[in-house]
Amino acid sequence: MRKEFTVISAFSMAISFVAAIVLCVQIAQFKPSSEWQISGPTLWVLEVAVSGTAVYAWRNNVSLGGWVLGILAIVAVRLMISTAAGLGMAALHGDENFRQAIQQMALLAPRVSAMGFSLMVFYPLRAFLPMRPPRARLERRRYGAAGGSHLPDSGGNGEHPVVLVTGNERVSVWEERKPAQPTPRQAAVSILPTASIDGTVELPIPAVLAQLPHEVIGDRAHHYDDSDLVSIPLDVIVPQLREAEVSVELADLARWLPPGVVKAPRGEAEGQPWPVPLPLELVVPRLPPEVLALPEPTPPKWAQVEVAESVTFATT
Amino acid sequence: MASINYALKEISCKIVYYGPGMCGKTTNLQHIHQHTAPDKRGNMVSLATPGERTLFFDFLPLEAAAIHGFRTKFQLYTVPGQVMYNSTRKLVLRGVDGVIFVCDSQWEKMRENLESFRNLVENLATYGYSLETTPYVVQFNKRDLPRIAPVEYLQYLINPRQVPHFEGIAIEGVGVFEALREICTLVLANLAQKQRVGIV
Repeated sequence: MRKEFTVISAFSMAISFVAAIVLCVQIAQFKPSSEWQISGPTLWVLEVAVSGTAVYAWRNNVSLGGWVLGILAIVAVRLMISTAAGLGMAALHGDENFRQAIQQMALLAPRVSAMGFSLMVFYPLRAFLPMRPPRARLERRRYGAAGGSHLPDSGGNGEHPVVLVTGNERVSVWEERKPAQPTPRQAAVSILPTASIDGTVELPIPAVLAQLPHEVIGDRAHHYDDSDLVSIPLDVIVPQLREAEVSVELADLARWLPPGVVKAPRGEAEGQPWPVPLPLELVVPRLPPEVLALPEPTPPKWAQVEVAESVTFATT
Repeated sequence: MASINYALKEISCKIVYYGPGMCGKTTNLQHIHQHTAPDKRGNMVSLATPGERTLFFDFLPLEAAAIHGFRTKFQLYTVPGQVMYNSTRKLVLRGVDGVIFVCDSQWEKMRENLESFRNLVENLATYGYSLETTPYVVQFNKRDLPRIAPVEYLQYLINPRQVPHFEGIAIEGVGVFEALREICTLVLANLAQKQRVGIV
C-alpha cells in the first residue's frame, strides 16, 4: 500500500494545498450573511465527523489508533490551510492584524472550503495509517465439529436440518472448540517417517496458473504452454502430502516461475500470506515413486492372529 | 462388543461401514443384501433422505455358518457420512467389533477421506476403543471412475499401517464380499483370541 505514495502523490498534495489557500482567500473576500453562520463547537463536531467518516471510507480496516491519527491529521491540514490563507489575505491587503485575518478564516464558508481541501491534501497519506491485524481465517468445519443432533425439517428434507443442542451437548460443543489434542492415531501418523528427498517436481505452468486469480497473473503468462514447466522443490510438497492438500506461497511461486508470469497482489492482500493450492491430481502422479514408499508394515495386534481353518468365515 | 450367548449357542458381532459421505457404504450393504441367501439374512433397514443420503444408519443382520456349534450372526451397520451427523456416527460405533473403512478414490475426495478417518479415530476414542484393538480393513471404492488416485497414494494417506485393503466397485459388487469376509475373519479370530485369554 505504501507504494501508492509516489512523487505524483506529493505533487498533487502540494497543488491541492496551494489551491486551497487561494480559494479560501477568495471566499473570505465575500461578506457572509449572518443567518448562515454555525457556531464554532458545531463546526468542530462536523469537522471531526466528516474526517472520521472519510478515513473509515478510505481504509475500513484501519486500526482505532490509525483512525484517530487520520482525523487529527486532516484537522491539522485544515488548520494549516486556514492559517496560511489568513496570513496570505492579511499580506494581500497590507493588514498588520494577522490574528483577525486568521479568525476570519474560521467562518463558515472559508472553513468548509478548507475542510474539503484538507481531505484532498490528506488523501494520498491514507496509505500510512496503521491497520488492524488481519483476522485469522475461520477453520473449515471438520469432521467431529458437529456437537448437536441434526434432524430433517418438517418436510423430511435433510438439506436444511434443524439443529438440536442439549445442555450436555453445549458443553461438548464448547469443549470441541478448544484446540484439539492430537489423538493417538494422528500422532502415530505424524511420526511415520516422511521421505526427505532432494529434487523438484515439474508441473506445467498453465496448470499452476489456473489455480491463481486473474489479478495476480502477469502479462507474460500467455506466452507459456503445457510443455513449459515450473520446478517446485519436493521439500515443500512432501510434508503436505499426508494432509491431502498441497499449497505453495504465491511469493515462492513467483520466484520459481519465469519473470513476469505472476505479479504481486495489490491493495489489502499485499504482504499477506497467499497460499496457492496445487491439485493433488497434478502433483502426485509426477512424484518420484520413492516419495510414496511406505515403511515396513506394522500391523496392529489384532491383525497378527493366526486363523484356524475352522474359524474362517463361511461363504455367503 | 461381541456378545456370546451360551444358552442359545450364538455369537453376535457388530461390523460398521465407516467413511465420508457418498463413498458407497450403503451400496456395499445393498449389494450384500441382494446377493445373500434370504434364509441367511434379515431385512435391511435403511433410513435415508429423498436424495438417497443415509439419515441415521443402515442395518443388515447376517447369519454365517456355525462355528464349533455356535451360530454366528453379524450385524452390519453404516453411518451417515455427512459431517453434521457426528452424534449419530458416535452412537453407531458403540459396541463395534470391526470396521470397514470405505474410501472414495476420487482425487477431490482425498481430504474428506482423511477427515473421516480421523473422525473415526476420535469417535472410537470416546468409547475407549482404538484401531490398535479394533480390527478394521480398508476398501478403496469407486475404482471404475475416471480421475481417481492411485492405490499407492491412498495407502500412503489412509493406510500407512498396511492393514488389509481392497479395491472396490461397490455398485458392481467388486471387493464387497472380499472386504466383508476379511473383517469377519479378523473379528472372529480376535474374539477367539480374547476368549482364550479370558477377556470375553
